Amino acid sequence: MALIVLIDDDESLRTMLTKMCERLGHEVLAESNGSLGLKRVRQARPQVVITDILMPEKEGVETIMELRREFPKLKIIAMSGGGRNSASDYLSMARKFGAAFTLAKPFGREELKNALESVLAEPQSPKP
Amino acid sequence: MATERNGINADVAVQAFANMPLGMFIADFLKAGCPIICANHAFSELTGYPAPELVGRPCWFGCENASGQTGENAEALSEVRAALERRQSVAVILRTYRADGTDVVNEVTVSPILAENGDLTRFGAVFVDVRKRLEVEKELVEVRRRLARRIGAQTADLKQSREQLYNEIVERLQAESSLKATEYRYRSIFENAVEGMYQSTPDGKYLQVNPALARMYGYSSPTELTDTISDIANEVYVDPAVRSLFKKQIETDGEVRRLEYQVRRRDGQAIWISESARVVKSRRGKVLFYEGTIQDITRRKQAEAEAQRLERELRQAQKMEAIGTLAGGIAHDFNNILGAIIGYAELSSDDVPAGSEAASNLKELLKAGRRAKELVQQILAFSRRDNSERRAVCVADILGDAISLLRAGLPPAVHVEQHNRSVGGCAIADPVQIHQVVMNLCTNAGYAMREHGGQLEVTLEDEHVDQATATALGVEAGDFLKLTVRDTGSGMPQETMDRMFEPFFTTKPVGEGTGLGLSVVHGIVRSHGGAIRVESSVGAGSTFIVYLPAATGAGTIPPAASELWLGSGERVLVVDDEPHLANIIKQQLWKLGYKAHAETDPVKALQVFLDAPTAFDLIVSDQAMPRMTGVCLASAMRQARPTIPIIICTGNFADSGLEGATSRCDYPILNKPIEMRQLSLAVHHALRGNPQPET
Repeated sequence: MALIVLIDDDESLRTMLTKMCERLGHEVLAESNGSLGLKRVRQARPQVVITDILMPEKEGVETIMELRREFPKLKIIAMSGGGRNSASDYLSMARKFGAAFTLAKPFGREELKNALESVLAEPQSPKP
Repeated sequence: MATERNGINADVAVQAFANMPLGMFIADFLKAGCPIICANHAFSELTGYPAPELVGRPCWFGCENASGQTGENAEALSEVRAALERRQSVAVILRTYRADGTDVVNEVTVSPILAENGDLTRFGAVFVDVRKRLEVEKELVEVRRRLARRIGAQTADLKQSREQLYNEIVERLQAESSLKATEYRYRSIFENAVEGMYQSTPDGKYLQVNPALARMYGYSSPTELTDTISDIANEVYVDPAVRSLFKKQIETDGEVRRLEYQVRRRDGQAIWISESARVVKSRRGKVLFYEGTIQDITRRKQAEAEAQRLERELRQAQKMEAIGTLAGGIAHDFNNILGAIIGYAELSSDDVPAGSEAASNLKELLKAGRRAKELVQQILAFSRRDNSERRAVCVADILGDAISLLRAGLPPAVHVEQHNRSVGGCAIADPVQIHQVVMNLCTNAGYAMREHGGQLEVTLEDEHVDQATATALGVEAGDFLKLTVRDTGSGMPQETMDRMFEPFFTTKPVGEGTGLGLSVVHGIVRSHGGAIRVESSVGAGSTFIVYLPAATGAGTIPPAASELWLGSGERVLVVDDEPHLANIIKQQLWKLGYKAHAETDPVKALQVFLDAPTAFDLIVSDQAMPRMTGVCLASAMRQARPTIPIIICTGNFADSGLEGATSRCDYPILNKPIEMRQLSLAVHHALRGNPQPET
């Protein structure tokens, strides 16, 4: 059981992922953009952050970079459905900036579960 | 009895003298005034004096006018005198005056009468009235004069006519000569023109053609052309219907200007021509013949077609780019939406009893969601630009794999042929994607031949793309692998070709195709920096030509393959007595971007090297070989070219001769089995003069 901050601008997806994480036994704080997510992380100090990449206000890669600077041990899962470039482009960039695991949207419960188990099993988050 | 003289009786002579109708007298020459000795009756009548009064009178008394002057007779009388003195006869014209004062014009013949001693003593004169004769003569003279005048006038006319005629002839000759010159000039133009020229009959025969037209139509001479062709519409026109159009226009308008159409040369080749012609009619308006000029515009037509093709391809490329951008743009939202659908379906599945209808419905919902997910992934493949999975791959190998997979699925009547003409056969590519490209193209080809069978031909070649072609293809100039997939199937109309790369465009029945196959091919090829060209015609089949940048330059090292050092086409001679190993190293080097040549006999390898010591940039040789060891080979080569970099491969480092060689740092050593990375590093350093790379 872990405390997760979930950042996604798509409300429907945010609600669904919150429910999914809760059913997997985790506690979830959901935010709709990077700035709000950062604030929430500073405040709640979660073990895991699940963040989308393409978002208004503050996008994911920038959020990941700031999180990594402020919270080196935080485990970050990046997710993306792609855009002008493919999801794998964004996700490989996210990995370079410190995401421990990446999920290409759309993904199912098993993939989410696997990602969470994977990052939580790691003793330490990777160095950027 | 009268005396006879010269056989004439004197009496008869006197009588004849007296009765002669012509006036006569005999005068005494010796006396002054030459008095008349005797005169006859006619003379008496002539003068108007009785005969007795005449004797003794000066003979020329009648020649003096009223004032006693001889006047106009003076000259004639002198002439008479002179003639007599020469004892000669003379005839003169004398005007004599009668007793009544009238005058008579006589022709007077005077003859000398000589004495027996030859002296001139007398003379006779005979008078003939010649007034009438003179008048007639005068008239005759006048007539003659008039005649002469008329003749003169007519002669002048004639002369004038003759002159005119002469001038006309001269003019005509000049005109003829000028005409000849003009004709020569025009004939020269006709014979030497670059354009084809002809005269033809309306029913389709050539009357005459110039050499240019004969050449254009593939005949050795104009005569050969005119003799061979008897039906222009069917023997020259590619489409005989155009001839009817031409005839209609030329006979309605009198001319045809720059009509462009195709004709068939003697060898069967079709060429494009531009024809301008006019109709030549008789005075009564009957069409006599056509004459015109013909230009070969095949090159221009080809250039136009090429320009059109390029424009179409450019439009197509722009359209695909736009669709790609659009697809990429919506993919993000789609994935979020699908994420929610799949996620909620999964969440709900937990909440409904297993085996319930709701559970079954949710299962279907999930299935549909996953199908949608796959579709979106295919759309993304179409607009994909990532290159994270790229490395130097052997396209020929992929081709072989894909075709053996495909064979089972192709209709039995489809015959597959595969040609690998590429020397290198490597591209910097994602092997999975290239596999997909080959599969998609070949599956489509098979589909096009599903009804009647046919031939599927897959060819891989090397092609250098120059700047002009590169611009047309929308790629960077350089070395490419050209993959051609040709089928003899149903082919495509232009409308299909215009849209075939668009996502979801399909000609297959609903349920048989997604319309994404070619979109994905297009996306993959473009994202590899390549291009795709299509040629197709209905009923004749289709040809897809894919250009993929060949793996030769170090500048194209992909991120995932960054540990490999790639070459830039440097030439490497591989020597290994084991053919299989020689081939593996050769293949590896090609994949790394080198041009490798393998030899299995060291002696032959040495010969190859000595024949052209600068033909290679590097030698990679096995050490343990029969007839000659690697080190021996290396030193022999170094003698010919001391700076040639050489790498020795060995499976046993303790091999004799090698320790010495390496201690002197003569040759870098590669241990077998040779891994790609090691090889790439060793080759890279050897070529840059660093014999001992840190591996």
